[in-house]
Amino acid sequence: MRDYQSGGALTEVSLCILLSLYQPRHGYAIMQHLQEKSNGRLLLGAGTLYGALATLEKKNWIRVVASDERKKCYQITDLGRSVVQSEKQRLESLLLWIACDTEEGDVNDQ
Amino acid sequence: MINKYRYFGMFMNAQENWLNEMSKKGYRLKDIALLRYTFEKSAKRAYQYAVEWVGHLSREEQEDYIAYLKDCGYQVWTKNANLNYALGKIKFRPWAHAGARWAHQGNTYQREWLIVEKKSDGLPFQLHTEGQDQIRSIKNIRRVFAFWLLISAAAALITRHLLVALFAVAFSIPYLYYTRSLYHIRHESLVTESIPASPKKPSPFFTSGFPFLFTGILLLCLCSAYRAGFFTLRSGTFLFMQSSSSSSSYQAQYKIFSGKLHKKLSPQSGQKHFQVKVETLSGSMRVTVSNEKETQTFLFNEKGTSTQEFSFDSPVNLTLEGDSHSGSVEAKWIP
Repeated sequence: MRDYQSGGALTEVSLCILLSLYQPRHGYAIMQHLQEKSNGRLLLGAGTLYGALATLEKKNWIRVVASDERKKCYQITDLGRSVVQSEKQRLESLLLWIACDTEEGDVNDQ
Repeated sequence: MINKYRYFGMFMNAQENWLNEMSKKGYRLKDIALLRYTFEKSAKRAYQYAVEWVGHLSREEQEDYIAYLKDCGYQVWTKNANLNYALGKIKFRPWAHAGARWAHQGNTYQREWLIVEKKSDGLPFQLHTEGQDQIRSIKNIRRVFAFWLLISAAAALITRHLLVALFAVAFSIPYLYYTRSLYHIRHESLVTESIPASPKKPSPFFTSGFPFLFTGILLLCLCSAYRAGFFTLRSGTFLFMQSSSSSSSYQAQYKIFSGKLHKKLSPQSGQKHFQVKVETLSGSMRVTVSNEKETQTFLFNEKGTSTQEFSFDSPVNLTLEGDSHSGSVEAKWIP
């Protein structure tokens, strides 16, 4: 689906990674944070995370803040924060839409 | 501690399933070699395994990925996909990334698979969980078969030989197998982002029997090709050659043979004359027959069949020099 205003929805993985990088974290910590926050609902494969981190870094949405003992720590950039903000607005309007349409439908059913 | 000998070649699911089956029986992977897997006793289902194709990555990319996986708390091994038969231990891989296109022992030769081990924590173990990412990782390995399928199909068209066509058929099977997996993931990713590890239980044929069958077919092709004389020539080029030889005779049929071939033929009891019969369709053929006393050379460049006979009484050295020669050569000792 094409969004002509904000450039389309983020994938669930990108959004979750961006959210967990409001604090600096390395790869494994991101996976754990995701599991905690989603109550074990989200399971992110290490290979998928590796590719996603590289892509987000290339897009300048996240950056490497420290490499201690080989471990690369990432943190979100200002550009990344603005992407999350516009995604938040998109999701809020989507929620409003869902509430609106489902209630309307229920009224018609009765 | 037990040793098991297995060869899974290019089939990642087969290797992954087998390691997980071993883990279910209470065996943990300890060490690997060319064909050997060493296991030690452990609690049942204590570890989970995932196998990933990294043959297309350069050595630096591999090292970076392995270091990352180890940071995640996983144990990682690199595994060979081939059986260490390569001239000079160098392989050309046009399907790989820049740093791995010429694989040698200093970089990615015999490091095509990653075996990743995770301590069981009640959750499924899957390295790739998103549809688009899974598609990318399957395409990386399918590209290898696409390349060999293309090469063998082209070779089959040029040589028009059944054996070469068999190679093309053999390579098309894994290609179609990975295409089928891709189709499934593409279909699912139209409606959802994450695809479960194994949508349905893979058929035992593909997970256990198939790798052996596939390797068997390839070996059979190679043996038949050897018997049919595909590898007789050591120098020169030829489009297609079928030859047979014994200690006292040599026969070959070919198209466009350019190069040199040496043979030593010894008479058996009662054989006194050496006969060379050359059939020429196009091009020319120079035949030199010599022993320690004398040397005779003949040039065959007219279309048709001609025969030359020599009288020798000791072993002779036969040299065939083809200049774009098409036809056949028969050299033998006669009574």
